[in-house]
Amino acid sequence: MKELKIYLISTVFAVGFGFSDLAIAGEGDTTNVVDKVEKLAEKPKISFEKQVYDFGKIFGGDVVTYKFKFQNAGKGELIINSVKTSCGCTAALVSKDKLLSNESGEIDVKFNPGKFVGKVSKTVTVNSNDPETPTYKLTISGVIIEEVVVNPRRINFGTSRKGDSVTKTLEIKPLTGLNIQVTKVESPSPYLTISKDKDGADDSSVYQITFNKYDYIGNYNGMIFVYTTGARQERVDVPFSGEAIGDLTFYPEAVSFGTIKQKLESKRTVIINLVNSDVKIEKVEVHPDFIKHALSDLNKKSKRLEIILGDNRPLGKITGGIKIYTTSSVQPVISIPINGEVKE
Amino acid sequence: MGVIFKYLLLFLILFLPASIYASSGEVLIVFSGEELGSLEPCGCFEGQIGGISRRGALIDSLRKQKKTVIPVSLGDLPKGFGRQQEIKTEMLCRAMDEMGYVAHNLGEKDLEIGLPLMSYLSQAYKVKFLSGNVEFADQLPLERNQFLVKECSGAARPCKIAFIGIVSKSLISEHFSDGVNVHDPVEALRPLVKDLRGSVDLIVLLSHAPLEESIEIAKLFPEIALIITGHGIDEPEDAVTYLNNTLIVTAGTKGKHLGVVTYSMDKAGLTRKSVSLMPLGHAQKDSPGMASLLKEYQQMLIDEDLLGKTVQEPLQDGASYVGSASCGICHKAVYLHWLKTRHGAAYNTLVAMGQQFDPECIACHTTGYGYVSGFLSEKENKYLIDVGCESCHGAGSLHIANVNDTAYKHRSAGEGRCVTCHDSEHSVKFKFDEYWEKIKHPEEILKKLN
Repeated sequence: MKELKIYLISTVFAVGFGFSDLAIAGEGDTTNVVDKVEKLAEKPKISFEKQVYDFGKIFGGDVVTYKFKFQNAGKGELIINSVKTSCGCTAALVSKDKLLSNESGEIDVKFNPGKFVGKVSKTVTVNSNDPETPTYKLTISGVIIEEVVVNPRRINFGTSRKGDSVTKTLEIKPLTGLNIQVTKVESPSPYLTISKDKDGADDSSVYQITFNKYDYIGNYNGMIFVYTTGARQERVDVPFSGEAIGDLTFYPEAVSFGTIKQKLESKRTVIINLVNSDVKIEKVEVHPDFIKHALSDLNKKSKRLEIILGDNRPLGKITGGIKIYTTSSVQPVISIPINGEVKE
Repeated sequence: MGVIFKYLLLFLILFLPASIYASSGEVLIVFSGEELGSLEPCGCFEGQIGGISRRGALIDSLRKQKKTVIPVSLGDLPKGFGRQQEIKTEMLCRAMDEMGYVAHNLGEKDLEIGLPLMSYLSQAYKVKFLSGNVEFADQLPLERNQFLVKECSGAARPCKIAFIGIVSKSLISEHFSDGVNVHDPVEALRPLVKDLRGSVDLIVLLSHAPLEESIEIAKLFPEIALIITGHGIDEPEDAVTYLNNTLIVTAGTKGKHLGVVTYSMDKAGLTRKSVSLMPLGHAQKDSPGMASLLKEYQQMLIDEDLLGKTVQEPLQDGASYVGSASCGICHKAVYLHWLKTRHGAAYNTLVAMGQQFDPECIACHTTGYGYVSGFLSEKENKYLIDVGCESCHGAGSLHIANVNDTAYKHRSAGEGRCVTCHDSEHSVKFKFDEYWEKIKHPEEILKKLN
């Protein structure tokens, strides 16, 4: 009987710790073997009722909560070391982090979709002292829907020449069956013309959004407001943006050297693209005088303007600028501010 | 003699492994991607991972081990639109230049932020843009390559590694594709892989695509030894996939990790040794060069006055923000209590870190930012600094104008409002019940005003 007990102990030990460990345990180590087997039998085991939770369809803004129930199915004390979530939209809290054998606990998961729309799947990683499954993955997934879908969510008028008008379409589609009406589509921007184009299928409507009468050069942006009778989305905001360009484009719009040490040379690059190939750059002026510059051809359409802050600059704030004189009637002079601060 | 032998043995034990390591020629393909505008952990809580400063220091430390380090980027530097994202994108390009990145693959967000910026970056910085399946309209010049070949020396023979870049059609929004024509990645890869397979030792694909799509590409092109991919995968260690001889890895999101695939280089060519995805935690040192760049970033936000240029949305009910002090005229006990809470000092925590000019931070440290009459700058409306009464209860002008009318009673504060700022990206320890106790103010019984 004693032999059988040792045999069983040895077998369990061989499975748990590997044969090599068993091989070095001689007859005199029987007590150690028993201790080890007892420790092995005392190991914790994390066991979840469910590993995946599908919350189905929810509206944006609804917060989903779900409790993943788990149990310590082992003999040893289960310690939850950490619970991590895969994104900032998901929070997870464990009801208790130390569980005795057969004790149960919960991981309370809260998913806030924020402005997210569409299919979503987020994971919660549970790290414990379970030797067999030290890392356990839980998944919460589903679909975030909207009462009113606008397509696109943001209108990009792209890059157009100054004075040109650009038209994009905006499709507004309320969720079928809720009898939601679009009451108004408007924008405070004086450069937008909004007109209803047609009624589409499934209660949807299509609007023509035209950006025009903008007599400037540069980036523009703004907002279109879609008002509806929906309980959750009384107003849907559609941002718009674009850029009107002239005969030349340049980037960046401001040169910043940041905070730099006095002895180090520092360079910044301005790229000038000649949209109108007939336009020439006549001269470049940079002030203050301790800022040097060098203009070179990059390719047929572009020029590189290096702005060089040499080692002779004084301490303190740098406030200067670049003036690029061109033959363009639209952009005869391009001004680019220069900022920075020189420290010891 | 015995003593000399012992010292010689000790010398060999101590130094030989290092010299064998270096001379055997190890090539490290280091990768990052999907920064989505993340330059550094914002500092909202201890333990945040990521950031260019830690990444820069880690790449430096790998180079100091005399290994050949080739950093590449998968794409998606910005997360959206607007001037702040443009500045961040440029900063990330400068950071890549300083860290010695050889290639940046164009993701859909790089394309969406606009051709003028990408045209500038492609011409102003050393890092080469890759885009194997995208054609651009000829409006502005955009320097990019379909692939790039890097030669590594230091072993028995030099080895060549080809990097190809593609972006998935499934990620391209038709509304942002003006001037951009995206071809089927598989069709674009066929001639490229065919040309490269006999002439290089290793083909690496920067596949800006969902993992499933990249696995399909791996099945079609077994010649590709390494695919760096993934889209929206927060935990990159979970996504390491082996398909026959192809290793498929992802860099994760928001620059929180740095991936490293190590190859040994010998007469036979390149042999994969290991892959690791390193979280950039607080134990990682900071790079002085990157830290300086981050300071410059903050300075640019000031120089360009981004706060002052904030687009303000109108409030739906037509109310406007009045500031906590105005609320305190009637709700004195509540106001005095609020002053002692961390909400009442939220702006100062930003000032202490020099981030009070950062529009992305300011929204959760002031009142009403982004809305008409809300916080714009300390100079414009100092009465709206900190997370004031109206952050939780809504803009108060209509309530003050109709103080006895219950229709204009302030809205109740609740968890839904808290989690807009206290999300687990910025407030990992947030538990509503516990935090509520910290800010819950005393009940007040107010008399009706005549």
